[in-house]
Amino acid sequence: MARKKKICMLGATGVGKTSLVARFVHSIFSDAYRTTVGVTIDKTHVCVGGHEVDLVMWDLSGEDEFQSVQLAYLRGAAGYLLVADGTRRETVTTALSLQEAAVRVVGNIPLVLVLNKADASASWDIDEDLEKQLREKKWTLVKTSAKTGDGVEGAFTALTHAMLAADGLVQDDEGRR
Amino acid sequence: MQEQKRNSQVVPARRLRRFANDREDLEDLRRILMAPDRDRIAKLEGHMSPDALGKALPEAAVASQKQGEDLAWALRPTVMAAIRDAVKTEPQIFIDALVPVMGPAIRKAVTHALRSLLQQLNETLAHGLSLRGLRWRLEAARTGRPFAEIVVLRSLLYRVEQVFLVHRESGLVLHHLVAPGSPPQDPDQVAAMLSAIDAFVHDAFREEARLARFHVGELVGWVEHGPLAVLVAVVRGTAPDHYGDVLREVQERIHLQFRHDLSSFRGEVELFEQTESMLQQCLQSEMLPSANPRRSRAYSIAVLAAAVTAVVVGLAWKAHANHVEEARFQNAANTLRQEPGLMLTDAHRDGQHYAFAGLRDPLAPEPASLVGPLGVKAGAASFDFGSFYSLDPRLTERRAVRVLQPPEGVTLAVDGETLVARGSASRAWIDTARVLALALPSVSRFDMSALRNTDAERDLEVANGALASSMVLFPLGSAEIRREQRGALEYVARAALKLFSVAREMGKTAELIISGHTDARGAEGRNQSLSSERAERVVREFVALGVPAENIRTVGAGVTMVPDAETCALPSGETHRGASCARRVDFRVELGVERRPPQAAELR
Repeated sequence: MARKKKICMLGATGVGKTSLVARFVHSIFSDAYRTTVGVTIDKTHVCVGGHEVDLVMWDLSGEDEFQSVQLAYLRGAAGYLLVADGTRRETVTTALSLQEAAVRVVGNIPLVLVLNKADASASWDIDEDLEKQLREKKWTLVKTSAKTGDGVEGAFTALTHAMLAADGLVQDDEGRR
Repeated sequence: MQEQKRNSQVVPARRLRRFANDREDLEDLRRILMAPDRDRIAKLEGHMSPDALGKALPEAAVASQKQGEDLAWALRPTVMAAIRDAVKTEPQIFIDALVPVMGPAIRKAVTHALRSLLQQLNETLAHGLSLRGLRWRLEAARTGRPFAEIVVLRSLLYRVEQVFLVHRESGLVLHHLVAPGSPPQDPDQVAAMLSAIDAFVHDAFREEARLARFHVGELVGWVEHGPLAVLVAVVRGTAPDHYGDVLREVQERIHLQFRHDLSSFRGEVELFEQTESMLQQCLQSEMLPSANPRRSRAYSIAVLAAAVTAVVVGLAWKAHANHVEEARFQNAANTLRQEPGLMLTDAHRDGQHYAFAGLRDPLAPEPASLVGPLGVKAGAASFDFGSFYSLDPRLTERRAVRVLQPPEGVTLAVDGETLVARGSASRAWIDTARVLALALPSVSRFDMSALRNTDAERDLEVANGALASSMVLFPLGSAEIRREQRGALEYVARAALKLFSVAREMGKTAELIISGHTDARGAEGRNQSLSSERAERVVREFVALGVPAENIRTVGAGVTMVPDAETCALPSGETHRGASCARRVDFRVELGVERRPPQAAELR
């Protein structure tokens, strides 16, 4: 049975959420929506574990000192990508606080933590200690590069897998965490 | 258990009796206290019996129907499951039941589809031929949209182009319908963005009211919120207010029927395909009333009739033109076919161009000159004719005239393989024609029996005249030819030879009659024999001069008078002209027709 899932892109401003989506799909809406309404919508189709899933992606504008994320947009989401910039340590902090806020709105739904800009290894700002702390969260952690495309599909696939597992449609793969 | 058993064995008999009395009391007490409840339970058990339930269920169903359709909704899954099971196990029952229903249903659907098509055709025709239609055509050309779409858009009072059933919390589209011909969009992205905007305005203005309408150009979005799902209709034009009631009713029915699926929704959109029939009710449209539909229809019919008439006239004219062209072509082909000296082997027509092929005798007329007078324009026909000799009598006759060049007064005709010449001609022409005629193709005989040889006739006349005017004179009582008479004798012999020759040339027989005569003196008997001797004597001389004896007849005439003594040349020594000229031999020719005339030349 074909399914539809709403997912959200959550993270600080400039971490590359929109670039990740753009790597994955082609959008029909312009960026103007993000500044006016705080979100743009994209759609793509994936097949995970033999299940056909339409992903309707809500790309929420980023959290920064001038604007806050419209967390109301999270309602009804089956999962989200929590995106941070691997070259800016503070975006991880923002991501963690956003995750706590998200739990208050939608509860503990599947998420995948994405450390973007993995191509910029020279300026990588996530040390082993921080990475270890993050891994202790038992979330799926994926390093991506919207620039080269590395890990992008894997991040979306991992999230879809987690959502299907939450529905009991596929085996929860502990090894992925 | 064993403990209890052991205890009961040690209970004394007295205590047992008291216990039994207590039990009876208790039982009595219970009977008194529980009596009303027991009656009610017994009554209830009576109601629960199959018989009682069988009576109560129909009444309950009727009562429920009066209150609403909850029972129907509730029973639906069970009934559906039962039907599904029955279809699987005993499909034939359903086939038998459905066949009589399906036929009329299909017919109805086909009729409906045809009616829609006719209406669309009517509209397009009506608008396509008007000034307004022209304007719409320009719009279609300018915007690159099909003309039919422009017609529909401009003729509509309103039309619901899309209906979205959206899961309220996630903004996911549960089901989506698009009116035929409406521009397609991605419903998921549109619905999600609408949900986002709805959430945005709700949060921004902190009002309890939700987004109910939105306007985008000619489109109006009607949003009907339910607790779990939102119904969104995208309307082009202005829908009447009561359309909101339609949306509300559908929204409520969907909630009633799919409440469970909506509340536990985790992305299984296929469950909501069953809402299709309900959403279809929301896809409404209404056409603009035409300014004067009757006039418009009459105008359309008139234009259509004119167009059909023009097409029919055009087709008829074309058919007529084709018929005329074909008739002209056949006429031309027949003319060529019938013309002697032409042999048509191929004739075909490609539109207005004709092509003829075959053989042509050089003496036959040019094919183009034959078909020209029939209306075939020069250049409209091509001719490919090889040369041959035609054996047609008319061509043979033409060829004979060309070769023999008969003089004026001579006509030539062909009868079978015989060339017949009539009239008068010179000996020279006849001699030439006799040879040439037989060299002509298909002529094996040249008949000149009706042809007069003018030269031979003249020669015959001259020779005849010479003979008739000549005589040989004899001395008294003698049959000897005097020396001086020998010249006359030879002259007559030459004339006779000539006459025989010419007579043969003319196909006649000629007999020279030589008559001997005496004067009146002497005995009659002697004169008679002397006249015969004289004739015989001349014959002998003639034979000696080469005149054939078989063409000569002698007559002993006896004593005769000289018919014209004046013309008699008096021999020397004679003084009595009458007597001298009476002692003579004269000549006469009798002509006849040869049994088989030689005036025909034949190939042997």
